[in-house]
Amino acid sequence: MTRPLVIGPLGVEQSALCSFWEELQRRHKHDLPWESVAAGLLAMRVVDAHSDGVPVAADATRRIREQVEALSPEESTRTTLIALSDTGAFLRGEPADELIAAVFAYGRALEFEGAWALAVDVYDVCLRIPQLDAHPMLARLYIRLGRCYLCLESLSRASELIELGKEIAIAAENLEVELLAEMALCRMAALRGNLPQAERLADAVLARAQAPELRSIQSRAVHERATIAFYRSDYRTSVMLDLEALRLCLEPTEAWRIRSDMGGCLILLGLLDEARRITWSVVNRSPERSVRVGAQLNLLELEALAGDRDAFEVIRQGLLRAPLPPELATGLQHQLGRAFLVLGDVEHAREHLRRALTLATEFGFGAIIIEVDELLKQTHARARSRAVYSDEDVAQIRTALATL
Amino acid sequence: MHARVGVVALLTDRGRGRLLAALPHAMICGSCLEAERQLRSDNCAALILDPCVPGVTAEWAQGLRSEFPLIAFVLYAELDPLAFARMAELMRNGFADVVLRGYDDTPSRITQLLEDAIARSRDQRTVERVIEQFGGAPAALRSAIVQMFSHPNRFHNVHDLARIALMSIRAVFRHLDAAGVSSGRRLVAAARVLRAYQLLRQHSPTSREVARRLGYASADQMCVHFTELTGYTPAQVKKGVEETDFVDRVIASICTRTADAALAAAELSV
Repeated sequence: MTRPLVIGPLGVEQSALCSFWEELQRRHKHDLPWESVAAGLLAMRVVDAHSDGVPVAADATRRIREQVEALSPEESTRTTLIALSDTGAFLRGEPADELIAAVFAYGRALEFEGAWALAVDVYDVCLRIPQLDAHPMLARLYIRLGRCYLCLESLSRASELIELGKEIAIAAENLEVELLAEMALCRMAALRGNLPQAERLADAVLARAQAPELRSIQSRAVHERATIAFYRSDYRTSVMLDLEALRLCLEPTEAWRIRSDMGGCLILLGLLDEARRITWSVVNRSPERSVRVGAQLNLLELEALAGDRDAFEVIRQGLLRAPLPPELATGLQHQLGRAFLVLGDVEHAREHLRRALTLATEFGFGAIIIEVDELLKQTHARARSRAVYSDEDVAQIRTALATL
Repeated sequence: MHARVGVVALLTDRGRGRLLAALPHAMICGSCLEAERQLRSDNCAALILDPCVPGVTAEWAQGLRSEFPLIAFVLYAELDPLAFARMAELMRNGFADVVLRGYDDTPSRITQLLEDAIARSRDQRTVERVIEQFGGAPAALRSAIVQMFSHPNRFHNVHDLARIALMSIRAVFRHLDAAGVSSGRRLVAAARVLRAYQLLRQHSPTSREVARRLGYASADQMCVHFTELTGYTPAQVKKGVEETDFVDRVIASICTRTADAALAAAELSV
């Protein structure tokens, strides 16, 4: 997907919070996310005004604060927006560090919600804070921006930003951020299908991240190796590496990502009960919406493979009820189409695949358009190829899983 | 500012009270026709536009912008899905200045937003001239330069420009050089000097006030930039310096090629 692009009278992009405006015109007022996005837009305008040195009326900041507090406590961005409204931009102070950290945290919260286009706008607001120049957060910010563009399928932009973040981290002799950039580049190589390069990058990171304080990076590198093994259809190795990554992992969010990927592998290994247990735990406990939805999509496939139409329906209805950002909504329709194909229900499969195609065309998801188009051409059920493993392999994986 | 600069506001009944409280001298209109008549008859600097007024479409607004290229268009809307749907259409067509009712329409805030929008619209042709130089530069850098001229107070050095362009400082210098810009520092200063010129001409603030608003450490520092880039002081500008003359001097001071051409032209005329 590309971000909404607003071309100004001078023929160049005007990017001031355009994703927020676009998002708000799509949503309905009484839908909670509308209020959340509106509160975010107002808060970002205050930060921009602060960057411009323009004081915002106390009455306006008070109203924004009230608007944020009125959000449901379950709204994931509420906490970060409250923290933001406690900062200098709202209270007329100058602690730029707090402001930068608060805006960054709001961007991360949006990423967790799968709202990558909004997160890009938020990181842009952060970049406009004058004190960010030479701030230690700058390199991380570029890498996060790169990651967002990666999710929005803008690979060349993502690559430029991650390289830039890496360059700044190297200049600042910040090994941790440099290795984070390397990991992002590794993911990009894997997405582009250049698995040998991805493997080389992951190995290089592993070799350099030996210090105890870099254990999280080690975990990410091992997880990346697991992903590469998955892309090579070596699901057994992938699960074993995921378990190793989980052992090293110190960040709860990353741990749920690893479990989610592991669940996907277990489905393909035919270990449906284990996959179901792990995947449900991800659905119920991961703080990242995109990971939770991804896990639910895996469950759809799992129940389709298990032939449990009732369980499949329960998950399907739950997913269809939830308002989803465009990326996940498209992914859902795509996955439903695939799952119905597995169930042999060609009519429903076509219906969902057509919806996926409409959404993918509307939002510009090139890769999905191609795949859905292919699937639509098929008129018979098609199950995903499953690798064959010996009983010994399966027993070994079961033993390893028991240690979880 | 408002007693001197004409502001036309095309509004629904709902928005009039708050806007008039903030801008008592604004000329309120209730229909597109009335607003067009007002713009044609008066020397207006800004049109405040409620997207919910019947007849307000992107096409209509674009037509008006072609007719009045120096007028600032400012959208004035409530935090409401219907207004946002209409506003999004206008924003997609490049109408980017927005005042949110109940949040931005206090007298001081709306005054500042309007002044900046007016200055931006008046600087438009100058920015076009600068951007022309950067025809071969990446879109991200051109966008950052436009942002710099739109919000000059956010940019204090080339590092700021690089940060917003999402580029390394070396890449920015490479592109500046290719565009024939003699000095990155001067390019950044030019954006602030041009805005200062517009603000000094719009109404009667002190140089100190303008310097503060543009993020200068002092009025003296602003004066140094003025003389370095144009040979004029802020005091001379307040007394009256022709805009074309001022802008030409700024452009010549930042662009080597233009400066060389000007030098060649001067030599020829001798």
